Amino acid sequence: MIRFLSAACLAALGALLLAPNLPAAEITPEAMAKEATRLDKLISSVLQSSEKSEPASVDNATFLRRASLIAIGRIPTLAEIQEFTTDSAIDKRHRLTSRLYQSKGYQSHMNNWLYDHLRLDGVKLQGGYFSSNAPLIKWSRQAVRENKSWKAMTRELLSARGNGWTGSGASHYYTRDIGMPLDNSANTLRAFLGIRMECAQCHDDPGSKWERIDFYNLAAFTHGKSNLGRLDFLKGRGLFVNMSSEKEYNAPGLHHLHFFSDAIGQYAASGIEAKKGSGRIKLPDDYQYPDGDPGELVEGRTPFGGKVRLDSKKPTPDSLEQFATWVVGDENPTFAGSIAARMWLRVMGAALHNDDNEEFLDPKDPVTGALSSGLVKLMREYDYDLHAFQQTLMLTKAFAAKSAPDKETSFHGLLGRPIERMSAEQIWDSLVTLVLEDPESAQRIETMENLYLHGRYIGRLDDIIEKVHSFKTVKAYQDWIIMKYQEARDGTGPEAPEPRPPTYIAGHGRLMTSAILGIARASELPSPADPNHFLQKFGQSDRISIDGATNEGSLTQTLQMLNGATQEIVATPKDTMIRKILQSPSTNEDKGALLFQSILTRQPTDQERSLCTQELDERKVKGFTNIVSALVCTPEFLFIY
Amino acid sequence: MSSSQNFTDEFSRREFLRDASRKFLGVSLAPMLGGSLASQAFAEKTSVTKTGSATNVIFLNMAGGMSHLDTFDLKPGQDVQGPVKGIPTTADGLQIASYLPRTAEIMREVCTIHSMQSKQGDHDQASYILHKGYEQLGTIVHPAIGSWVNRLKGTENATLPGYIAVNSPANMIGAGWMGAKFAPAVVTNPEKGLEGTTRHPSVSEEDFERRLSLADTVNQRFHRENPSPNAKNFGTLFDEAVRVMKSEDLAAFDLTKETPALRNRYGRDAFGQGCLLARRLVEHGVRFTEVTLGGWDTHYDNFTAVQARCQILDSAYSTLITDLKERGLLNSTLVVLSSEFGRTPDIQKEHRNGRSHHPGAFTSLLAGGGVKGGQIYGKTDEHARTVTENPVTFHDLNSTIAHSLGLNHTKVIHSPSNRPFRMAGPDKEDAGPVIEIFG
Repeated sequence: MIRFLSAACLAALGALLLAPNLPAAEITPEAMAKEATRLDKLISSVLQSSEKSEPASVDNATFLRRASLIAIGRIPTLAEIQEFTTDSAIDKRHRLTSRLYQSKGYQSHMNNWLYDHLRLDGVKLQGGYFSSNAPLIKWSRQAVRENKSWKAMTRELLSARGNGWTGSGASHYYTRDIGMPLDNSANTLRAFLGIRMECAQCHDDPGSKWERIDFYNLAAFTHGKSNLGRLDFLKGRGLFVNMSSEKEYNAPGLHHLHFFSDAIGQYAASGIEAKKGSGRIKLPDDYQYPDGDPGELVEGRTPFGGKVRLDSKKPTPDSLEQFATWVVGDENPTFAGSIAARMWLRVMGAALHNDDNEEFLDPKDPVTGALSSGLVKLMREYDYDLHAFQQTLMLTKAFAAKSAPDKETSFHGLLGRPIERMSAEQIWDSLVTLVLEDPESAQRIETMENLYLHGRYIGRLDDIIEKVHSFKTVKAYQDWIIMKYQEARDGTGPEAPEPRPPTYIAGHGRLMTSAILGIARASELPSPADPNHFLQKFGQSDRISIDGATNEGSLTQTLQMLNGATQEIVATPKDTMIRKILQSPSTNEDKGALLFQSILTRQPTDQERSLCTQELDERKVKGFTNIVSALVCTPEFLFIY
Repeated sequence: MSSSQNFTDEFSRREFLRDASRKFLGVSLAPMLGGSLASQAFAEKTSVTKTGSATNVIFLNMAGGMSHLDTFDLKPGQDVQGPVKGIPTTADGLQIASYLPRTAEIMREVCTIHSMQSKQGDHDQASYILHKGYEQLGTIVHPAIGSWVNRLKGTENATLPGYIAVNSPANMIGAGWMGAKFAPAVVTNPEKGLEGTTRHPSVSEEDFERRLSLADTVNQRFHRENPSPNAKNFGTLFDEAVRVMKSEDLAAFDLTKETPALRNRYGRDAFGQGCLLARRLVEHGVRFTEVTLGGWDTHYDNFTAVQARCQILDSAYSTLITDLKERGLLNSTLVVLSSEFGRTPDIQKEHRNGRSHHPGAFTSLLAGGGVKGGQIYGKTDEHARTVTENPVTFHDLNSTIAHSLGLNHTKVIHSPSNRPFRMAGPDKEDAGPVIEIFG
């Protein structure tokens, strides 16, 4: 049960309280509404003590649009608009919020956040290794489906073992950064603790308290874990290196074999070995401070929170597990505060935390401390249920406040969210909403049981991986690989047990093996999208840095809105959802109004209504495309307000 | 605002020391920021002023690792040379591959740097340093040199983008932390020009105007009800887009305005036409244009493959230099030709006479922008394996580009996350522009 505390008690509390963890199922809408009221009281206190008055609330149309974009990442469909408009219940906004958070749209939008936050991208050649994040992406999407707690997710990501293809995809969290373990450490600290230690990787950070030794003490925890690339018969050297020294491997006509072998190898050899860890790391050759020597082995050691200190004299097999436990532990001062800060930013539109270099809430802040404290406490009470936490924020009065002109006047989102352009995914998904009757109908297919290379069925993935691990010598592996390669090349290999599945089902019920040009929500397309895709042009993250997305405008974008994708995908095709409006038996006046609702989620003003009617009367079909094209090229469509 | 109370007293102690030393000792604990050893050294060097004269840059990116031994750094008579024969050029003492006959005739305009060297043998990592001056990191994306040039020197033409990339790899050309304003406009097909600048074929000019008018009405109401500088600025981007669409400067992208004869001389392929486009863009004041020619990663069949690439390179490069010269543009245009590394002197017979990656020594070319032509800078050993004289790193190369444009390569700009960066890469006391090649 959530403990009920008076607002006065809450306001007086500056410290973080520990409360019993709740299983997700127990957080009912009523409970969330009560927590939202509590948060509103804390927000009022902050505003009062800052001598700022509470902003007015937005009207229903604005609320509907905003809530949809924030909860499910797209504008509402006509049907959803209808459902909300005709709901006469006094708590219709709460009911809407519940509907939104229960919908598939929430999953799609949350997936986008995770792809960005965890830098989930596809297959690439990195540092000489093939690195595929498909298992990690699959794991992440499943975690969203199950509403896995952030605490459980973090723990798994930081300490999962085994082959990600056959076991937990979370073990690919480290292989995602294969060849760059120190960058992984810097990203890990940022992603889960909100701490920016990238600078300290190379030198004491003049802009913060972090010193280089702190970085290495923390990096030590995850150093020395072993990627499964260390197959026994490789004797510690990479697969490619071993194979290329074998003469037959380089025989004429077999050069495609190398890539084939690498591909098989990367399936078999990716993940994290069980019971292997070092917990120690050598200081680099250019270590320049008196507190350590270049080449010196330093142990895993936590500079704050719970005290953990590993042994610099011998390896610690469970160093990953110890690290994970420390990160998510209640004694860690920023674990709850960093995810709470990020969810606040996501829902309310402006950061509550002050310092860009520390992405976590500060309960000691003189202005917002009590509110931050309340949010951290709530996150812990919810046992890191991000779904419930976000929904609770949306139930606050503060969420419904009229928007502010910019970040500064927004005052941390407490005086209204700052008016800003939607993310690339929100724009794309909103355009998809104008095309597909059910925007969530086009779903990515995630089967990974059967291995295909160059279009040929090779075998069941589990079997292949087991086989590779069974070899004792490079020669034996090579003979087998050459045989499999020749089978694939000549088409004499085994028959696939079932037809090859497409990559995803397109919204019009068509099966598609290429999602690049597909009409589907961003979360169902490759992550990141193709470099020339609309999403990338509009600032989708390239998945290289955390929070790599941008909502800045550019000339390329506006040209695309005027003459590119909006024309190709929305305005001109005859089988789109929005085209149905034109084809319906309503009057031109009603059609104009429906277009306004579909695109801008509101009724047109009298002047706009008259202009639309005239446009449809005079230009007919061209008038329709003119209205659609005009409306999507407005800040009103492209911004959240 | 201090959140040090979240942490132990150790950090409070450190903060106190840092603040104390700043206030009481007037000492900065941040020698990285601002003035540096390199800028001191540079100031001494430039007391003999040899400045560049470039206002524009054309950056020709040879993607994949161009074999230096088989193009510009020949070692006749050595085993490592393989079957490639050399021909004399209009640069004294310089032979280049017989695959490049037309280029041989214009080498009097070119400074050939034989002594490029790098430690990076991985494509992505090497290309990253070439383009951005910094080693690739997993925590921040650095701006490409085109972004830096526009940031430091601004744009010449108010309508056209100041940075345009033709067929270049997307992850190498971006503006990184500098943001969308300094991102390149991308051209994937030189014949098609700048994407999105023409109306969809189904849309008449009249309909286009009707759209703008309707949008305008909607916008007026929106800006009135929801005032926001952000939304206002975005609105002006639409105005800018329409201006670009109607601009006469778009003619820069119209290759049909050139004679077929000239287009043929450049070569009727993406790279050749891309180089022609680059020349036109320079004429219209585009500050930085990059054009990529790929296919240089000749692990297999090195000699056949290099010959094929050279056919394309030869027409395009020689015509570009000649064209710029004849139009009086060479002095104000720096033409850079570089690859991310060279290729191994040892020929791999088992790869059907291939060559693998070799960052230890390779060649880049600079022409125009105040660089003295017809010279060779730097030397490699008899196998073109190591640099024996005047090594030039990417750091130095990018500093040289800065110098050519009259830019201070030591200028520090901070990212939004408050990290200091410079155009030519990290502060290193030995690195700087190769002043000697300017004349």
